[in-house]
Amino acid sequence: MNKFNFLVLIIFFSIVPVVTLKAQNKIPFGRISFEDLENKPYKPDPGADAIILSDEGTASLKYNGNEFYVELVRDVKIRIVNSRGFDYANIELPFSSRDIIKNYRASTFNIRSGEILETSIPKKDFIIDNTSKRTKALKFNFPDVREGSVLEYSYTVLLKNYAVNILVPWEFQADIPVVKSMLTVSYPEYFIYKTIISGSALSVVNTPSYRTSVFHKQNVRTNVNIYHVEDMPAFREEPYVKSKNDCLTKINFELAAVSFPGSSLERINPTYETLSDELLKRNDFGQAMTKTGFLKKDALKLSSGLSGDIEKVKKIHEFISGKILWNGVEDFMTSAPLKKIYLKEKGNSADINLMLIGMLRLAGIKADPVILSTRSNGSINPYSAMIRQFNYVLAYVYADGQYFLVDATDPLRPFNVLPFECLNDAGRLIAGSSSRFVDLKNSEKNGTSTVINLVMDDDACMSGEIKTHYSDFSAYNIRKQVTIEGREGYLDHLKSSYTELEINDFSLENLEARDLDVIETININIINAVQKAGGSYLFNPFLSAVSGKSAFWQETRNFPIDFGAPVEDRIVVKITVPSTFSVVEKPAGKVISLGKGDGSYEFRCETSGNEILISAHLKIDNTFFEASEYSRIREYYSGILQKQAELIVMSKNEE
Amino acid sequence: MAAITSNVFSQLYPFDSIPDNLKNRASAVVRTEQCLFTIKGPGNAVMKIKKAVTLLNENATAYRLLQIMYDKYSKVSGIRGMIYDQKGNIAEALGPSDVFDMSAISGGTFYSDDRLKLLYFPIYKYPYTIEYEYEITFSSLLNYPSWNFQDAPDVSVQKSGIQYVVPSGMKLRYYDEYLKNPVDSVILDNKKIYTWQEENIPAYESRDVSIRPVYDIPSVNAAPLDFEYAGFSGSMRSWKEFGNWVYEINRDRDELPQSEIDNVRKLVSEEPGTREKVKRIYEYMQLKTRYVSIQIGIGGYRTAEASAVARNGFGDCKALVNYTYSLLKAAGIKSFYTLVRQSSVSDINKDFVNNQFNHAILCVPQAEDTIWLECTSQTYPFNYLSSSTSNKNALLITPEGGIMAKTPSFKKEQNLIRREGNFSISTQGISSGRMSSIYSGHHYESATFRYAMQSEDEIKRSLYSGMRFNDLDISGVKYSERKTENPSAELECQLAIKNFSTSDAARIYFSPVISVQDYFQEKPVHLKVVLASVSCDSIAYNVPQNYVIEYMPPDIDIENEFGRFVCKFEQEHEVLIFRRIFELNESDITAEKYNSFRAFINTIAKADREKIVLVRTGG
Repeated sequence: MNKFNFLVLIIFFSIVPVVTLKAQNKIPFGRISFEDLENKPYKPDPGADAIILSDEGTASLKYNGNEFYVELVRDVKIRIVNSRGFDYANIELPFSSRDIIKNYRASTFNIRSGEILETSIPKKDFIIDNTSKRTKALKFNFPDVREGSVLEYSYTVLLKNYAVNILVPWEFQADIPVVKSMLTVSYPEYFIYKTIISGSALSVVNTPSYRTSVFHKQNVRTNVNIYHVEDMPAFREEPYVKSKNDCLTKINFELAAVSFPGSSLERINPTYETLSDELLKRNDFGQAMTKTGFLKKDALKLSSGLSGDIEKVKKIHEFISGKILWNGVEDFMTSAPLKKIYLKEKGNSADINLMLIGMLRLAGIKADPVILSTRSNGSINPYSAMIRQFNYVLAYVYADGQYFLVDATDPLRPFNVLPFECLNDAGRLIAGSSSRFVDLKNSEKNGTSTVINLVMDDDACMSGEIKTHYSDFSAYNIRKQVTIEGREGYLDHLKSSYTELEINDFSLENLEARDLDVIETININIINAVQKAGGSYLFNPFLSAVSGKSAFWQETRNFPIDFGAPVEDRIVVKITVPSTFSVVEKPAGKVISLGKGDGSYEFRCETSGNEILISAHLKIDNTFFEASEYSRIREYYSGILQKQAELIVMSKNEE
Repeated sequence: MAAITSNVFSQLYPFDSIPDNLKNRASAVVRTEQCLFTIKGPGNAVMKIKKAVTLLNENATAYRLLQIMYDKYSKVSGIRGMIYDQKGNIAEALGPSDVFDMSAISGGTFYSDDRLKLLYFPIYKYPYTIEYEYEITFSSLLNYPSWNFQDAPDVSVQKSGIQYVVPSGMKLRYYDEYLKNPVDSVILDNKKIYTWQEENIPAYESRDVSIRPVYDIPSVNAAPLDFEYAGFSGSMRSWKEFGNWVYEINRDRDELPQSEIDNVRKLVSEEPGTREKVKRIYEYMQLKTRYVSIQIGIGGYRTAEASAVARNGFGDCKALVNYTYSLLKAAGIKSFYTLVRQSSVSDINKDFVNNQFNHAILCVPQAEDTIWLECTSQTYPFNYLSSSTSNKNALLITPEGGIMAKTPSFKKEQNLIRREGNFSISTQGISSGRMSSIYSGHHYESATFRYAMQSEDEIKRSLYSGMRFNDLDISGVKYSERKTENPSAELECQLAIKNFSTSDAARIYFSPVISVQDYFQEKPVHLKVVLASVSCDSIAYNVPQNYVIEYMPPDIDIENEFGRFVCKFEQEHEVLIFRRIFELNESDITAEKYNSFRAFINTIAKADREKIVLVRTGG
């Protein structure tokens, strides 16, 4: 947070005497019509259990002599369509502990004997209670709720946290339809804000205007912006969405600059050009990487005797990831002096990765920080360098002629495999004049390679071995799972996934060597492998855990599809058929293309003597698809599952 | 065993001192867990808890948050926490300033006394040990602490124990299950001390099967003989006496505003018989109120006033039952507030008088066909109980005290899912047609949960996950209900199933089943079928032109102690008619019986995977 900017503004305003502004934000309560209460089906979404009829907020930036705050007056009207929507009548509104909530009221409206009946909630039935050290909530339940009831609540809140920096974040979309959502924001023209509208930004209509109001005993020109949305559909989760943050329709404000009368414009938020200098000056970022003298001895010891830079990087990466425990907190600024982190052996992602950079530099390796936003945090804006959008930092390392992005928060992950959460387009390299955007990836894949060797006996029973190579993310996931569940737990898990198999034996190789692929070998019998159908013997070579259901079953899609990392899966099945049987039919080879060079699936099936050899190679090279391209992804998977359901038909040879 | 000493922090918990067998399959190891429950009087006790758990990995994260519930009749004190590293050295100490206090409920005004004290332990490098202790002083007692010696399948236990100190003149009643060590009881200073201690309990494999496994967790259940709660004295000498206490604490809370009484009188004035009157009043209550889950855990045995529910239109299960009781009373109909244990797996122990209940329903006794009402549902038909409250021992709270009764349940044949379908198979592997499913008995309940008032999109989602097909187009969805005392729900839809069949040059292969039974693993486990039910499929498949049926699997008809499985294939011209009946009886399948049960299930799993073969004719 730009804490130092607060001081600048407060010093300016403390010279001027305090005048508290009367609340001029008002939204009338109780304006419910007969039409509102008719409970006619809402055409765009007749299946909705409840509908937000209107959500209106009026927010003004104010100053009380001590601090800035935003006064928000909000009024919400909800219609309960059917009894499944009754939960929407139990309200819990979250706030920060420092916010001041007042003027709250709520009523249920019903039609009774042809008249509109209002049942209000008595003041004593509103509860404000702490929900954590920094948050509290306003809780109340609407009385007398029926199908068709309209519930209305309104309140005024004085938002205290970083009010001048962020004004009032506002969500236009909810998990039920919103018929109308409107936010009116006003603030003195001294303040210049950047707005980020995420989700379906085109649905948000902005009507800017201005008026004159009194702010601190002075007549000030006040900017008034009205943001308006109508018939916003309910937000529904879909599989392979990178971040709800990007998809939910909402608005965020960020103070970009301040321009007081008589002073020049002062940028609050830097541009990408000036960002590097800003951050490198900070104690919890740039300066932290220079105060690493305590690491010198370790750095030299670890890198001594090693020839290549990559070897040095691996060794130092192993040291830091093994020594400092990541506490799960994602940040790009350190939480304490790095020496303290080193002694405590615990830190956030910045503590760890900036320490990594410091140590690499001491070993003579070029390393610089890349700041980024993680996938669930949403995309960064390449035009606006708002500090608040970043929440992570990685090391950008140059070793033996190659560049790597390195993260040291997990001892199980190899140095050149990023956490999946970091695969989010591009991050910003902070390196003085060489600062630029870099793609957030090394060459990670979600990859598996499976070889299945089966032998069929004279009774048509199948047994054999499944050998799977897991690389990059897949390998990391296995290592993680085994660390948590142990080998017995992992075997339990295998047995419940592969219910069609009797697992006799299993082994996992290379669990400890994090740079190598994990190799899993399972010895199996397939239960009822071959079906005798009259004179034919039917067998499908793709076992239960392999074939399955598609995540893309829905007919349409609202949000883009994001796989994160490219996918590459290979399966080879070799079946040895006894001489007492012959192969009559086998699946034909096929190539299925995802289209536009984004990926392909190759299937081959050949016989050679008494052996059947099948191979299937699935690739998805492009990781991001717009929602409009959904149907080709759906068809791709459907085609693959269809192919892998085909049968091998055998017959018994005449004696 | 001596009582818990106060010198708790001199102990260390090095990781290496944990025996290897306790580390297998475990995400955490309980090093020690001790409870000292000192009873001072019928309404007075002090509970001291001390627990040390070594966390082995991220799956043990839940232990990092200590939550202690309390209310008007209990006070928490002396919360202290400690963290030890792998070697057993102290890493951090937590005290009262780290404790956070908040309400235990969301919204609502009836029971705002329920609160929580929270202590959050920060993360450290695994393995590390957290240790905590605290004390609760009770000024009202209804329940004595019960004790499960093992928290979860993936948590092993080095040592766990509970000690009850009972003053002379008072009696401790108890029963225990699956323990290795018998209870130890001594008399000291005129007090009787009962101690239970178990050691070395390893973690076990928890199975993910469609039929619920039964794990025999070692436990102790204790209860008072005489007790005092909220100023009311009571006894657990018999269900009658306990019921009497519940009656006393809840009496005279049935006053209704005059407008309500007038409403009731008007409602029933046109109805001839009692049954119809009760139905009208129940449906009136369903329309007027909704359920708000306010009550959690300890305390609150007393219902809110009926007038409050009349005014607000919401309440928890007790309040809604009491409100309905009051409405019936205004119509001159007698009914009983009834306590039951709502659970899909277990029931109360009828032979041990104790507060084992977690739900309230209403019983309206009739000469024939007593009426039972679930008052928390706005949608259930009249006289319909959820499966989790059916076939349970229930305590009727009458003016003469408590009377044990049994809630009714549907018979196996009434719990029916009947599916009918008519499909045409194409040569491109697509099967399209119509399907209708009728759900009755307890299956009606799950059908309404999945389909009633849902958008077509939501229904498609439920259908997709319930069937074995991976590429479905669903359209023409129609859902309807027949809301009688033995209700049913019907779902109809049009399906176009891609990837339905595979083919080669001359033949088409397909499987006629809608859902497939999974194979059961080899290792025996104790299972329980709680709900007897029947699923019955009758699907007609129209064979494409120029094809005839070459192979149909043999018919199967098995009947045994576990149930019945029938699989029949018939041919009528170019139509293949497939019939499948799967009946499961209510059974307790012990580890000894597991293999024969598994053989039964695996026969079905095999049959469900058999394919039918069509062959192209000369043309």
